[in-house]
Amino acid sequence: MMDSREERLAAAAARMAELRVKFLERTTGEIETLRASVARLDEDAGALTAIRDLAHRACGTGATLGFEGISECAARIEALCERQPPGSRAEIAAVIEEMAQELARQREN
Amino acid sequence: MDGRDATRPAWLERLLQRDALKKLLYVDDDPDIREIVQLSLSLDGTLDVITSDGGEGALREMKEQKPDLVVLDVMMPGMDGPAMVKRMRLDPALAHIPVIFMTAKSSAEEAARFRELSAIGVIAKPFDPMQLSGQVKALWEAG
Repeated sequence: MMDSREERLAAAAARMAELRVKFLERTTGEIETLRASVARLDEDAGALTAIRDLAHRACGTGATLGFEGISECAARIEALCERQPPGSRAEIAAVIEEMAQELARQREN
Repeated sequence: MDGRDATRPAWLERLLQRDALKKLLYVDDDPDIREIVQLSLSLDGTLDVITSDGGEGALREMKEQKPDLVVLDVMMPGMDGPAMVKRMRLDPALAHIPVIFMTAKSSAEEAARFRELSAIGVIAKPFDPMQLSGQVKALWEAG
């Protein structure tokens, strides 16, 4: 017997709540990766791309899951990486720290 | 009379046959987005949604599963969405499958590129999981 739409909605809502928690945990872990990549910006040509790719994913998934503040920070990091010339190490690092604070706020909610 | 209209393309004919779930393949390298899309598109019970993380595996999946529609992310590592659709259009087994792109970055150049690949539509990211099913179906039926 097929589940009713209400049952599917309830199951989807429950799974979305789990995904939100998982996103916060994973993205918090990625802050360390971002910090490490920023530290290597001057000597690692791939570091900027790594930062951009992580930020792009956090931006899209964060917004889809309703974390607008995190998504906005991630969008700014991505834009700094794509700017010509790219943002400075200090500029990128500053927004990463903003994102870390926003993540901490969301985890407390 | 079986209600079939010879002027309708084969993919639309399949859509209108209501004795089976329509099969949709979603392609995205982000596993969370794949799961959210699968949840969203499965809500009304009319779609059989399968997913792939992209690349050659996605093309193999298309040949094996024969989806009625492919929805795919644009920005993916290795083979991006447009490159994947170019491969589909060159393959007689896949060329007929309608395609919808999903992208966070839209520009006039990108839109022209998608039209050249005969995409039936583009859905912006981020998307509202509760609205996604309606958006996909509206593009599919209009395409």
